[in-house]
Amino acid sequence: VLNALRQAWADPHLRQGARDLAPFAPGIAAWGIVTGVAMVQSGPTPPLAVLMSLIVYAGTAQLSALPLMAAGAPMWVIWAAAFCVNLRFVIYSAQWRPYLAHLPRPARLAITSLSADINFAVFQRRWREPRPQPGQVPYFLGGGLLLWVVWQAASMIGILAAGTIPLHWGLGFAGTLAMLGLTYGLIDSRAGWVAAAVSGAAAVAAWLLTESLTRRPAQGGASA
Amino acid sequence: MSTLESVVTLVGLAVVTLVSRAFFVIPEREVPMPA
Repeated sequence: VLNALRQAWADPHLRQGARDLAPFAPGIAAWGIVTGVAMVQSGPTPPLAVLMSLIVYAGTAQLSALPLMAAGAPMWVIWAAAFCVNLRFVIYSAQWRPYLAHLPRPARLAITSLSADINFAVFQRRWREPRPQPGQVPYFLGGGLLLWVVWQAASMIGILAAGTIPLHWGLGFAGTLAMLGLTYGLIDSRAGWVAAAVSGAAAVAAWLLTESLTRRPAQGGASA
Repeated sequence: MSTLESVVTLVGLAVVTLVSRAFFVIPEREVPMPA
């Protein structure tokens, strides 16, 4: 295994992929810690939280599933909710296809299993033209494996330190900021800016709607 | 939810996430996109 790792690390594209993703590692680590803390605080035992982090490897899907699991929702509801949250991965997979279609199916599955928001954006920044080129797979693996290691390590820290890291510190916003910084750098057309503005406005509107829906009963109670 | 049910749910979540991530790269032929 060590020999294989050494050989892989000798590939300059793999090292470049890891280097390009490294600046975003602190933001990802912060988000991973928050996810680890939130997982344990939502109910599952630490071993289950570790299993979830290792095999699911999708922070938002994990966080959306946990309250449903705690409430005893049917499995299909939990899976359907996760699929809805994961819909962005479906869109990403359409973008991955031109780069990966020439590979065997098991390789395509293995590679996309490491796909996440940040390494998708980093890859798209480096390889703008949607066609296979030498070095793409090791480049993706360099970033994808670094992201996986950082995420899992941070999640484990969050799971183990769940009682000592308060969620109100807002550490998770570091991950959002890292993603925003990267994606704004990718916008290079008027259509891109319009899409960014529309999605940003939709996100703020959805947040305001959630806030108003969750606050209304409390305000009503206070006035009564 | 029992431990067994939780584990089955987590395995299902892993499968759902894997399928989401690979949705358009699983088929050998390109899936037509709506115009």
